[in-house]
Amino acid sequence: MLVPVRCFTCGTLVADKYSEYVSRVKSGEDPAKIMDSLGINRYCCRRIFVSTVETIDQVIPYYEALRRRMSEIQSEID
Amino acid sequence: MVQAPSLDVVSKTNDRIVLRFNNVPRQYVNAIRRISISEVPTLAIDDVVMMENSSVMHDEAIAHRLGLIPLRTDLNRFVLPQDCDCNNSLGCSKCRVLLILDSEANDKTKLVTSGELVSEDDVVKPVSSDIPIIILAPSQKLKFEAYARLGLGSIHAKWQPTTCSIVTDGTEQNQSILTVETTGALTAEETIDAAIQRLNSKVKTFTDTVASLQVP
Repeated sequence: MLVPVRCFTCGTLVADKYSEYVSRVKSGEDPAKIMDSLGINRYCCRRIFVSTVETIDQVIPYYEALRRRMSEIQSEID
Repeated sequence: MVQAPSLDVVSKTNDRIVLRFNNVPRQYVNAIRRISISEVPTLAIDDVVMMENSSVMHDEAIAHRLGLIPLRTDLNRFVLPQDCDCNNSLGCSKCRVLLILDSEANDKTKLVTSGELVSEDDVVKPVSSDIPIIILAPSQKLKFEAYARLGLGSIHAKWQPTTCSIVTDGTEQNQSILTVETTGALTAEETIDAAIQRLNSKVKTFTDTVASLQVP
């Protein structure tokens, strides 16, 4: 659902660098160069960055909409 | 002819050390490597008491993420729970550290990171404050108490101080190169130091046991 905290294979901490990676990829940088600059050298850790899909981002909007609807109903009752 | 064993440090940073062993048996170098992986203790979150969790992730999934967060460890101040004399299932200040988190998203979606964990100890803290724990949607809440304990990598990988540790051939004969990388819970130097101490005590126990054996 969220980024894995550590690399599955070697155990290096990867989660703290993921948000920087995502924002730099979005700004058009080369993913390989970003990973080099973040100190992610082994291919086991690099595949975590390349292959992670944060499905929590697809679930959260449902709860945001639910909350919005709840407050609409509340204001209609008031 | 047996040449004198020697050791030099090729490179050293906080989380990575490269040592070159000359004329040291490969088995001895490998023993140091194996002990640094599985028998040097570190602190990791082991017990989580969930007070409130209305997030999209299950209690167990969050607890698993918490366990994997590397915590800075001071080996001199803590003992393994089974070696502690407190006889308390919750532990005492020598064998556990309490970390708490209380977070709520009010009007906006919020990312909860390891920086929000409050530790009762000044040293024992997550090595990075940017590790995402959960994303909370508006009005969701997460509140828990977590107990960190010392443990061994042979029990669970979350207690492993090392990430990548390897022994390779050197350029000359009878040369071994030991590379140890750590998660940040211990520095590479502390890990090697603790591993060598552990190896020495194992060798001593073995020698004493052999010496005490009675030959019928």
